[in-house]
Amino acid sequence: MNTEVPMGELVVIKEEGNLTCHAVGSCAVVALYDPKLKIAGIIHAMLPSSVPHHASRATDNGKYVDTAIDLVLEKMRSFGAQSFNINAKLVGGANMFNLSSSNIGMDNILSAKKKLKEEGIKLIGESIGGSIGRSVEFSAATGIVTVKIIF
Amino acid sequence: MNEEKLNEITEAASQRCSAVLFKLTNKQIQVIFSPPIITDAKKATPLLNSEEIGEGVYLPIKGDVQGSGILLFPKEIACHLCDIIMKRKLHTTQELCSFDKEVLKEVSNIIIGNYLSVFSNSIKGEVTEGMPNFTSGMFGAILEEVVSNFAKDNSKVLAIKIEFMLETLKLKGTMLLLFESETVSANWLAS
Repeated sequence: MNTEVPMGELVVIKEEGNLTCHAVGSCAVVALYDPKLKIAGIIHAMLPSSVPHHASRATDNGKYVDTAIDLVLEKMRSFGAQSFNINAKLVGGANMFNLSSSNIGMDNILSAKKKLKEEGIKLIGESIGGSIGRSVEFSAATGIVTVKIIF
Repeated sequence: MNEEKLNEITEAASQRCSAVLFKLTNKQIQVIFSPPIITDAKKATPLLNSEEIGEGVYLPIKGDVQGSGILLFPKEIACHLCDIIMKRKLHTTQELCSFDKEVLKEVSNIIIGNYLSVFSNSIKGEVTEGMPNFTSGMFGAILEEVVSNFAKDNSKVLAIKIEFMLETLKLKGTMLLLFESETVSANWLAS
């Protein structure tokens, strides 16, 4: 079964199914996996940090990279995952219009890397940056993340 | 905000867009507008998940009302429009050259500029478009950055969607205007 994860959302599943994010641009998609228990969690976050926005965890759970990673890890742990088993793959962070005035994409990526480091989660793969869109499919059975780039 | 008035503006502006497109191409172009809605930016368009490939032009909207304007051209429409405007034989263009990209930027500038002119007059304010920026790729990916910028302030947007269809192609291009709803309300109340 495929579960589409839209912008600003996060999902955790166990053992079976795929998590997908279509047409990712500047957002950061972080795919987290516990290979021992086959627990897969994914975030599709829009903005780097909740700090200047006084985010409410209840309403903005998946919107910010930092709070989304907190929440997805919390959910994965509630499924039995242990931090030292979890690895991460990072996708997205494009700057589609090459705007010099804003680079939300790269800010999202930097925030994700910082947060993963703080949490002690190993980053084992990435497809980031540039001015290209990406679609992501994440298998809970294998932990394989497939990134489709169309150009 | 006066919904009826807003619909009137959108209809008038859409007709003006249609007339502008006709002038540019000398072809009948069907323009379909959806009623304006106030919503979260990420709910403003179903195209956010779209993997369709095409060209996108983004223009910041400045002045008394702030926002973003974005035009999405399916690749075939983009090539077709460039052939028409550059007076080439149809189906000559398969890939856009840098000059074609400038053409699409200018077309977008004209369409959005005309829309904003009607809008400005109605709110008795000044609303103008900024420099156009061009990109190619999946429509969803093109829209993400624009939509994320609105999410920063948690504000609602006034979303206006206009689709335009070249009769010869039966393919739809999309113009999406996102206005910060607070600035629209403030100006609306003042006018």
